[in-house]
Amino acid sequence: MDWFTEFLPRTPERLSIWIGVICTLAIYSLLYRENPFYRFFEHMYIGLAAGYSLGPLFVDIIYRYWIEPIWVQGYWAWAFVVPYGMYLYFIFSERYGWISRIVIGTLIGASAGLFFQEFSSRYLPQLNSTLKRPLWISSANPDITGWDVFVNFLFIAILISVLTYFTFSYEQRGVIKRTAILGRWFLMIGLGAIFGNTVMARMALLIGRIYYLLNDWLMIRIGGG
Amino acid sequence: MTPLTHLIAQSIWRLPETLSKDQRYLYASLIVLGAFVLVLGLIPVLQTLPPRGRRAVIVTVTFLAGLFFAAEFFLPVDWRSIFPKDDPTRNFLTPAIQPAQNVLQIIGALALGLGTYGLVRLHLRNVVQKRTQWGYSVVLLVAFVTMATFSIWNTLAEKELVKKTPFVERGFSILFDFTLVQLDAAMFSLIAFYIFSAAYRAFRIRSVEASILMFTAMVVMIGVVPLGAYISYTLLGLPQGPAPADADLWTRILHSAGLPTIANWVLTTLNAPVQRAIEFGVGIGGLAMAIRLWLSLERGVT
Repeated sequence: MDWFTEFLPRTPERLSIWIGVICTLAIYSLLYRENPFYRFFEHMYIGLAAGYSLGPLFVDIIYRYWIEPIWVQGYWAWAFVVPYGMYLYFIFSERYGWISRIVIGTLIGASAGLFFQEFSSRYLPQLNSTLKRPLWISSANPDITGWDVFVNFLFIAILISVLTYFTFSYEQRGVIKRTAILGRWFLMIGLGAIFGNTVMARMALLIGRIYYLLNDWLMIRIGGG
Repeated sequence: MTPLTHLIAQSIWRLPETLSKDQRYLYASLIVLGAFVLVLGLIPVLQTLPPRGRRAVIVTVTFLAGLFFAAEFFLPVDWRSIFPKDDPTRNFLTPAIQPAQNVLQIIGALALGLGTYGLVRLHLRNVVQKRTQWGYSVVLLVAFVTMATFSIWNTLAEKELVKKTPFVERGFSILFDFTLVQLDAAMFSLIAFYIFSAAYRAFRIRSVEASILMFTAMVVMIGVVPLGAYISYTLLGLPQGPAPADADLWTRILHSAGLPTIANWVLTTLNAPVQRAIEFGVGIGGLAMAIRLWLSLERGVT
């Protein structure tokens, strides 16, 4: 009886848990089939997510980068940024729609320019570390073992074979074709590992939900909780 | 100081500090109003441009926006040969990088607002025109308005611009922690069920590639969870973790052939170069695409 009294949504905390449980069960009802219960909560989810983003992603940024510099710090030149950005909203107009492309062009151009920086900071160090792998034991790298050399050779061989597979500039024949096939097999190992990791990540989420239902809602203490 | 550094540091960009708070607010508001009038007043002028001229404006803006970030990155850091008094740790464009990124943040926020506006517009139309299943659009709009109110109020309260009342705190907590977060977790965990049917399709052994994919995925899936250690060590009566220093050769081999060890080796030795090769492909492809976008060679974008 005590369990049942505690189970009911009689306190604000229990009510909050019940709301979470109803949301979870509504989403899981899709596993049976598409139904109004699921559709209701699906639309609620979209509405809540869109509404939430306005706080931290719109108001916060506009206040921090536009309102505060102008009204609090007095940097008046920022005043032109929002009117310029507002050109985006002409996208819905048939007559003035092209004006929104000026702002879109700004974003695209800046993203392209920033990608040069990203390429350099993200990919070049990787290339550098790949090329610096020692492939033989010498006095320059005394800590390297035979196994390390084998692993480094394997690393380079896999990298080259997978890159060969992705080379489409000419017809692959002979040794190149065989290397590309080997590259495809290695690629399958990589994709298998990604798939395995993805499955486990999703399973972790599912376990989290089941734990919430059992531990928080039904109050069945599991795992020493 | 270089011309640009000098220009940014100039006090002309800032309202005089001698102004009182009220005066600053008034002048700032008038300048913002003027900026709106000026920028929106440009529209009739822009509208007079012929199609070629419009495209030229877009292409030029795109190019200049990209050029700024590219030039800042590619230009030599030490610029003292031309500007002797320059700071040797940065080039003359570097001081403008942070303001430029802030501009992008603001435009990005406005783009988010545009997406939200599009969503609300679509669902308002559904309701007004009473299209099929318009009731769900009502649910979406009510959820949106309620959450937007609490989210904005909460954000402003965190900045101490409005008072954070217990009503706002409790309402935001119910909407965010006990509804949105729960829906989010449930929605993404739902994929766990569907991934099994995807796994069935992927793992049907029809070729060498499918077999390798299945074998690797199985090893990783079992190896990274306690089940792998249970099968490899507990069932065989071996201690978990690395083989003891005084272990015989057979025990060492068994330890090395344990599923967790193999899964870890697959992930670090075989998977890492594959990921790096994919990354290189993505990077080179991205670079080519960035150049095409920057120079407006990509059709349909600008």
